[in-house]
Parts: sequence; structure tokens; C-alpha cells
Amino acid sequence: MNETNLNKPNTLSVGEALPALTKLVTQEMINRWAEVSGDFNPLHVDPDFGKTTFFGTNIAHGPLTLSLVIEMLTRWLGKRWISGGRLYDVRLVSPVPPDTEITVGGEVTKVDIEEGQKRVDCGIWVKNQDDKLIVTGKASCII
Amino acid sequence: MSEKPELVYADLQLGKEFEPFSFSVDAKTIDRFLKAIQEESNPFYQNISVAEEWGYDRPLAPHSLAAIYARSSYLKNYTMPGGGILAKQEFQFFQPVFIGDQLVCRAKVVDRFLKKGRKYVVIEINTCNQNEQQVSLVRVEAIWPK
Repeated sequence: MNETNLNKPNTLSVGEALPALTKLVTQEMINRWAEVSGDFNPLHVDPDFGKTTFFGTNIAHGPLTLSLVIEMLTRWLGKRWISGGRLYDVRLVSPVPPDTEITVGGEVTKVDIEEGQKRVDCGIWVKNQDDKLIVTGKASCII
Repeated sequence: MSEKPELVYADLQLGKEFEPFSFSVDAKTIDRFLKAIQEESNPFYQNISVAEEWGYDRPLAPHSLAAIYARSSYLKNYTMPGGGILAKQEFQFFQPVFIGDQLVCRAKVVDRFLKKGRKYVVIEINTCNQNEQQVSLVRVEAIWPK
């Protein structure tokens, strides 16, 4: 199930799509995140409470979604990402209710040489199955 | 059951530094974490072959773990009031994290403000490994519930 690219991307061009990562976020996944993070906010783990909120449903933890962004970037950039990656300007713009299929993707926005090192900048997004934006952000890494 | 007080906006004064938080990167925690993000079969982690291919001598842990230890770093002695919402987050990674590492996270309030009647708090979490090497810097901006 995991397509892993252990080779760093040597040739990159502006506009190039990042390898997308798709996951179905289930209530089981949300519950497991609550257990490992200790975040049992009823907004996440209690569907009945969720119905009473502004969102009208319970929703996944924001960091859970961001973890999948980091995983996508790790798969793509490998060793370079874990010792020099930056994920920033990240905004959580829409909630993720249980049973939402999310896709993490992005594209290369700039490839530059900085102090003798090649750096890639990317726009990052997370969308649901209806193409609605969930997260926007930027990433950069020395490659 | 919890004896810890709630961490409320009034406690989160600009410059407040939290007690350092130690986080053990043990195999059991990593296993639970990877299951939570459905990455338990990801060959990058807990795999000495991949680590060796990348030039390391110990199995790697997922960097996305930072999302967990960052939050725990400011809630060591507190509980989070219900209803908080994560607004923004930033991650910077400097060093790989390995199974067996002992991380120390230091959290500090770097901004707080009111916007549209909501209370916002920005906390920066600097994390180092047992060799005093910085492994990550995380910045969390959250809407505080009370």
C-alpha cells in the first residue's frame, strides 16, 4: 500500500505535482489518535457532542491531518525532509468529519540555489473527496 | 480523576515557559502512533534496512510524532479545557528521530491576542534529543476556549 520513494528528487521543476497521499479518516482512526495524544476533546471523540457544536458533527484532530501532510513530504523528500524540512503558513480551513476521504498533495512553486544549496519550495493542500480545501500551507526543503 | 488544573487563557501570559517535558521514543509508542495514522506498514519506520540505506545505524521514528509531543509539552501539568481549536501550526525539522531517543521539549508562549472575540495563543515548542541536538521547532496557534 505504501509507495515509497527512497531516492531524493534530483530533477524538479516548477509546477510539478507532489505524489499525493489519500486516506479515509475514520472514527477508529480519530479514537486511536485521541489515545496516543491524550486529546479526548469530545469535539473529536463524541459523535453526540459533535452534533451540538457549530460544526454539527464531531471532527478529526487537526494535528492528525497535519501528520499526514508530514508523511507525504517524508515519502517524497526522504532523508532531506527529516533533517531540513519546514512546513509553514499552515491553515486549517475546513474540519474533517469521520468517514472523510482526504488527499494530501501540492506542487513545486520554486526551485532555487541558495548559498550553494538547492532548495525546493512547494504549495501544499489537503482536500476532501468533494475537492473542498481542508488545509493549505507551504513547505520548503534543501535538496 | 485528574488532579491537574485546566490551562486557561489567563495562565498563558506572554513569555511563560513551561516545565521541560521528556518524551521517550519507544517502539510501543511508535507502533500506536503509526496505527493512528494508518502508517503501520510504512517501511521508513522501525526498519533498520531503510535507516542503514540513509546512513543511520538505528531505526527511524516518524517525524510527524512532533504533533504529539508538541501538545504534550505544554500540558504536562495541566489539562486542556474542552472546545479548543487548532488554527495554525508550523514544523521545522533539523535532525532525524530514532527509536530509543529521549526527547526534551521546552514550550513557551510567544504571542497571545484577541480577534473577533476569540482568544488566540501562540506556543513555540523547541525539542532536543539526548545529545542536546535540536530535532524540531513547532509553533502552534490555537483558539483557546476559556
